Amino acid sequence: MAHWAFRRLAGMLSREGFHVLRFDWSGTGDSWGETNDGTIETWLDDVALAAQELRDASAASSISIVGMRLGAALAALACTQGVAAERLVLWEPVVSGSRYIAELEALHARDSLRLLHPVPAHCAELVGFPFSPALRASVGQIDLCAKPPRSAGRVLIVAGAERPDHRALYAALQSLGLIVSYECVPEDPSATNLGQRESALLTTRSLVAIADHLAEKGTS
Amino acid sequence: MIERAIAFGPDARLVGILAEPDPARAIASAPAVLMWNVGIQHRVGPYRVQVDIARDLARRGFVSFRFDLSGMGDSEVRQDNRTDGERALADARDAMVLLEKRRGVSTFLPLGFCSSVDAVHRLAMEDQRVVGACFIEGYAYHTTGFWLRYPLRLLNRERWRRYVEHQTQKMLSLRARDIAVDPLREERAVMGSVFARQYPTQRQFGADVRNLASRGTRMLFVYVGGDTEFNHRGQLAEMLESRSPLDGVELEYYASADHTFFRVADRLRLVARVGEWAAHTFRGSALAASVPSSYSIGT
Repeated sequence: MAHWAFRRLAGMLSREGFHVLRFDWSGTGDSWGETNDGTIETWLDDVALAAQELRDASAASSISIVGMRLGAALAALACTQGVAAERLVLWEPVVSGSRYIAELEALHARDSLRLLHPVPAHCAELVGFPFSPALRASVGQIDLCAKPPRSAGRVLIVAGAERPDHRALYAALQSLGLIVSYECVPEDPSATNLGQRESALLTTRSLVAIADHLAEKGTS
Repeated sequence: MIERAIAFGPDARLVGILAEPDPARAIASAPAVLMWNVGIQHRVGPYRVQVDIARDLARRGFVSFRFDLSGMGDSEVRQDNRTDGERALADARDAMVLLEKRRGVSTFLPLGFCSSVDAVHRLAMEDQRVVGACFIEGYAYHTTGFWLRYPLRLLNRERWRRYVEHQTQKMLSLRARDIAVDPLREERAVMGSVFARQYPTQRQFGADVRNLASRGTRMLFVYVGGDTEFNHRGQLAEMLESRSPLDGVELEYYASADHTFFRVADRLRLVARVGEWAAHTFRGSALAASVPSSYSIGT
């Protein structure tokens, strides 16, 4: 459903005059690679490559980046490694990798309840996808509060419900001197509600909030 | 293998991904494989399985095209007053026109999964260019054999294990309300509200499949055994009311897989089975299996 949400957001931004590039991470969606090939390093390279591609294709002088969940964490980490973004939108960001893995494990356990034959314990899988020990280790090390995205001009955190980790990230980035805003856009249900996450991505309030934020200043 | 994103159809409003084999491996007379949205998911399919199938088929020499039906994924809505079913057929025919022009193919093999079998079934019945069809978790009907085996559920140890787990979760949910108490009930409620499908009658289904078989259309039916309407290998023959096997009809039954092929190992088996079936049916002998060796295969 993230595909549909980003397609709608891209359409909204395009109608506002933005050049928009959507892409799938290596090893996901339509992008090349096997599902179990993904690594944090590869995906950070993907962000840099996408940013360069957008600059080349649009001749835009500056770009903004919108990422959701783990994608938001990757966008923020890319901005710690020199990818420059006029604005960085962190949509329901994964703040702590270890907490994210715990959430995925809870979701996996819930999904497994409907199976007659569960995933064997020795299989490195989470919520229907391969999840290698190496990927688990690198995702587990993510801590956005500890690594400020210094090459982002402004940061917006958007969430559908109040969460302590989003508030903590907001406070941490503020204390480090970044220009950061936090917008809680109540959705019913929230995108972080494990039981009904798909429905949330079909609603529009977060999309409107993100589009409005980016439209304040015209970047690609 | 090369993959390209292509806009096609009226005013180029539809979007798909064309997977082409290396020229040296391409099977000249093979049908092109068509896949489209399963439920409301975009063209990649459940757990990206349609991407894996397309790439496996390309390695075996087949052209395939995964696309979004109008109004779904990246495709725009059609500006007409047709029904969803009619639009799906129109979209599939636009994809066939594209592949005829671009690749020179004249025959097709649509692959349906769950709800997407609706359009595969109709397309196969209405279009003579369809020489093969794959139905994954498609139409199923409760036969006498199904009901005779139904009580055996009570002897299934895995069902009792799951029942105990559900009851445990129910109790725990008093403390953790964000975890679904009864995922099956919840899933059925969502499915019921989102998907309203009209099955052909069993008699019509049987007649259609027999017609297709007599026309020479090759078919692969894949069913699973976990919580579905299909519970034994003989059920397809009962559904078809056919005492002897139909020429060109193959069945694969995965007793331990679930409807969405949640487990990676089940998907790997499915991808390999579809690829091997396509290869031996339309080439004569299967090319080397191309399942990624780095996947961890469970039991």
